[in-house]
Amino acid sequence: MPIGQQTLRNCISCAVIAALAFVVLVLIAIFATHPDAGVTPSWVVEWIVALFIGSLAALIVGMVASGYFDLAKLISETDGTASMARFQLLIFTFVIAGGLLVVILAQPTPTLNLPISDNVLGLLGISAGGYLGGKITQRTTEAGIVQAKTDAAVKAAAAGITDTSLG
Amino acid sequence: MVGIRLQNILFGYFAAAAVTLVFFRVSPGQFLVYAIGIFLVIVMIVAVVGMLGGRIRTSGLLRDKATGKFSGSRMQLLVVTVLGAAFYAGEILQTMPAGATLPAPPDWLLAAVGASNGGYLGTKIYAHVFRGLGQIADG
Repeated sequence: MPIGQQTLRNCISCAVIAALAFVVLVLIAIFATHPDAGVTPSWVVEWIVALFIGSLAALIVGMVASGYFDLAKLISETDGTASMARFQLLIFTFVIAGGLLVVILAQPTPTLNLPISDNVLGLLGISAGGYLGGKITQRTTEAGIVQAKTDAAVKAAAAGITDTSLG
Repeated sequence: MVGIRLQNILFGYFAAAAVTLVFFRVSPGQFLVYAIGIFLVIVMIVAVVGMLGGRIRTSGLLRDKATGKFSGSRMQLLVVTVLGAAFYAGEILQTMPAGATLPAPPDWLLAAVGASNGGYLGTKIYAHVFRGLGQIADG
């Protein structure tokens, strides 16, 4: 059997087992932590969403650990050199996300319902805007160069045809 | 080998989650906070260790792509980013015990980061435009 088919079978069987484990986990969550008022549809939905997001996080960590996601180019451009814009976006994202986590965990009862000030969003926006601006500049300039070279080549070809027809 | 490691981590998560649910009886919100928290810590450690250990490429971070020489605009962005992030992280840690919200970064920090990004971007646009014109002129 070709290696591709074997890998595909492994992936499918792993996905099926993971889906079954997820369903079992949801059932455990519902019956182990059900509120005194009884199980409600919103409680079930909350658990499905929470466990699904947790599963996605575990999947990403697993893919990084197993090499499916190669982090070597985490802050690199397509040409392989490191990008300062990506680096600063990564740093500010880590600081703000880490800070938010620390503040949430410092509360007696951790909740996700925290107000976030405009300045925090502004800081993230400036950081992401710098990255986006750099990307747009790079793409626009490269596209402009390609377009200008194409136009020049077309003009040169047209001039050559005209010269040939005259000569 | 690769698939087995992925499976192990995934099913390790399912097992840890099941144990947490049965023994600690957390709410969905609390579970989500802990799951995202652990995920974030792992990603941060992997990124920092990767950058310091050389697994994540940082070569050329302070060099201009066109000329290959040291770039002052990149250096200033690096300095402002590191100092700004360190200052804000310190603010968070100082207000953490009493604060129930993420402290707002001061206006001057936003202005400094904005000006630094603007300077970096302006230099990049300038360099790209002139390099582009040069390449077009060269044919």
